[in-house]
Amino acid sequence: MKISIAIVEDNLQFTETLKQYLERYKTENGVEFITYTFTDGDEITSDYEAKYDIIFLDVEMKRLDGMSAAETIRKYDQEVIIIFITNMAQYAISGYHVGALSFLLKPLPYFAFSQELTKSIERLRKRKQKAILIPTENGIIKLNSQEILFIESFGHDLIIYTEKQTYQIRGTIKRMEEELSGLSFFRCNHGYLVNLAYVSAVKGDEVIIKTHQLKISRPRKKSFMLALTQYIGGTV
Amino acid sequence: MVNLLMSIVHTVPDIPRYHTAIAEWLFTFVIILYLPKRIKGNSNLLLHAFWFILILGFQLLAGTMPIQFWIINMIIAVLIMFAYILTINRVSLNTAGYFVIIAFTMAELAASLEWQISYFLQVNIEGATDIISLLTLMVVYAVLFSVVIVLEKRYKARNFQIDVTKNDLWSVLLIGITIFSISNISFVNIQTPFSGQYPSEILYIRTLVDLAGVILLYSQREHKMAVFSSREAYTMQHLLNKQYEQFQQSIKNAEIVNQRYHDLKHYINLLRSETDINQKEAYLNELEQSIKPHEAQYKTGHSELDILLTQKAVEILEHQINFTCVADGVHLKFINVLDLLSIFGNAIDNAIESVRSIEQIDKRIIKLAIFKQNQLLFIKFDNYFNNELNVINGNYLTTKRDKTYHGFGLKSIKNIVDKYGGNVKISTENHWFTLMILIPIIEDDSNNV
Repeated sequence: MKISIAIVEDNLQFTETLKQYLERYKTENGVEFITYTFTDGDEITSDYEAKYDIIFLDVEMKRLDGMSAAETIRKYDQEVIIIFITNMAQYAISGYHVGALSFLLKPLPYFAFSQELTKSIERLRKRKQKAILIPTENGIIKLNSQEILFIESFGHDLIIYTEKQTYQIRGTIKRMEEELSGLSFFRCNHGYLVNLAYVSAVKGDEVIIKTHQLKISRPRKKSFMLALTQYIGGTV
Repeated sequence: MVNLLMSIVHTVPDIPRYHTAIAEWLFTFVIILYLPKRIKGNSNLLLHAFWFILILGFQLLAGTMPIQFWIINMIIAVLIMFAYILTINRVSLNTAGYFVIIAFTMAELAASLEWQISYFLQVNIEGATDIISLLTLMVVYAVLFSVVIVLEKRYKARNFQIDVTKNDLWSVLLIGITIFSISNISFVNIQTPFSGQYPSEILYIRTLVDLAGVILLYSQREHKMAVFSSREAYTMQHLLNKQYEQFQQSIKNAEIVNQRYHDLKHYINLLRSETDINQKEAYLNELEQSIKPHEAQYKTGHSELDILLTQKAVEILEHQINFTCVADGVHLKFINVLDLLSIFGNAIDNAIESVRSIEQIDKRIIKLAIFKQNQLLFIKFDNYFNNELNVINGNYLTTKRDKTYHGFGLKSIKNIVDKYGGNVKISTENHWFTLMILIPIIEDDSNNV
C-alpha cells in the first residue's frame, strides 16, 4: 500500500527536512509514499482533492493558517489524518475542532516524527471494512460493513439497520458476529450486534445509536465499555 | 409473649396502615427528587403513582396478617422503598441503601409523631376523630416534608452525594436498625428497661427515639458534607495560591521579557558580526533555550486544568520532555474539580516519572488528548517507555522505584472514573504506554428538580 502524504509548509528548508525524514522512514520500514508539497494553506484548499492519507500542516503560514486550512479540508474530507506541526504549542491545543488530536513540535527530531507516522499508518490500517452480501427481491446487493448501524436478531432472521433503510435476511447473530469479527462490532446484548463507530452516547444501561436506544445486558456492560474505549482510542 | 403483645395492641390503637403507607411513600419520594434520575420528564409521574399504590396495597395487606409477620412485613416494606428508589434514580446499590434508611426512619418519625398527637387529641376532644386524625396527619407530614426538602436542597446544591461508601452504608444501617428496634420495643414487650407502661408514654418513647434517629442520620450527613466542603475549600485555596503565584510570575515575566528584548538585540548584533558557522549555531541554541520557558501557556477552556498544566510545565521543561496537548476543556465541567485534578495530576505525574529516566532526550515524549465525541468524553495519555513494564494485580508499574506510588495513582484514577460510570483502559504497545479514559457525559440537570 502506497501512502499519500501532503506537506503544507511555507518554510522550504523544513519541507526538505520532512522529505528526508520520509526517505529515511521508507528505508527503515519499507513503506512507500507519494508526496505532495504545498507552500501555503490556500494552495491545498483551493480545489481540494480527497486523495491524501496524511497531511502534515504547518500552523503558522502567511496567507491561510493551518487551523483555517484544516477547517476547510474537513468540509470535504472527514477521513484524512491531519497532523499539525508548530513551534507554538498553544496554537495547536484546539486541534480537536478539526480532529487533529496529536501534533508535532518544531524543532522536530526524527524520532518524534517517525513515532507519529507509525501511529498514523496503524490508524490507516485499522480502517478495515468488509462487504457482506444481502439477498433481496431484486437480487443480491453488497453492503459495506461501515454502513451498518447495528444488527438485530429477530426469530430466525436478522434485521440489518443502516441509516437509510433496513434489510431482513435469514441467519443467526452468532454467525454474523463471527463474520464481522476484527471490525468495529460488539454484541451488547444477546439480540444486538452494534457498530461501535456509531455510538453517540451511553446512558445507564442503554447505548444510543442515532435515534435507536438499545439495552446493554448487565453482564456485558463492562466489556462493552472496554471495547468502546479501545475502539475510540484506536481511531485517534 | 404473643398474648401480652395482643393485649397491648388492644390497649394502644396503632397507626392505621394507610397513614404508614403515605409516610413511607412521601419520604421516599422527597429523597428521589434530589437524586439523579434515570429518565427525565413526566413519564416518571406514572411510576410514582404505581409505587404509591404498591406501598399502600402492601401496607393494607400487611394489616390483615397476624402479628407474627410484623418483622418480615417491615423488611418487605423497606425493600419496596428500596426498589422504588432504584427504578427511578440512577444510583448505585450502596447509595439507594443509604437513602432508603433515611427515608424509612423519616417515615417512622412522621407517622409516630402524627399518631401521638392524633391520639392525644382523640382522647381529650370528643367526637370528629377522623377529621382530627386527618388534619394532624396533613400538618405533621407537611412540616416534616418541608424540613427534609430544605435539607436535601442544601446537599444537592453542594453536589456531593454521589459518593456513598460501604462504611457510610454500614453506619446508617446500624443507626437505622438500632433506632427501629428501640422505638418499637414497647410494642413487642412491656417488661424491658426500655419499655413504656401507658399508651401515651409508649407513643411518646417511639417518637423520641425516632427523632433521635433522624437527628443522628442527618448529623452524620452534615458531618460528611463538612468534611467534603473543607476538602474542597482546601483544594480551591491551593489553586488560588497557585493562581496568585502565576500572577506574580506574569509580573516577573514582563520584566524578563524586557530583559530578553535587550538580550535579543545583543544576540542579533553578535549573529550579524559572526562568520563562524558553529559559533552562529551555538548563539542560536542559546537564544532558543532562553525563550523556551515562555512557551508554556495552556488555554483549554477549563481554568483549573490550565493551572494544573502550567504547574506541570515547569517539571516538563526541566526534564526536557516533549509534551504536546490537545484539549477541549469545556466538556470537563461536569466532573468535580477535585476528581479532575486527581485524574490529571496522577496521570501526568506517572508519565513524567516514566519518561524522565529515558536517556535519549528525544524519546521523552508525552501526549495528552481530551475531546468529546457525541456524548462521550475521551481522555488519552500517551508516553514512550524504554523498559519493560510489570503488571501486578492488574496495575501497571514501571520497573523503576516508587512502585506503590504508581499503582496507587492508577487505582485512584480508576476509582474516580468508575464513580462517573466510565471506563479506564491501559495498553502498552510498541514502547508506548497509553492510558485511555472514557466517560459518558452527564448533562447538568440540577435545574430540573
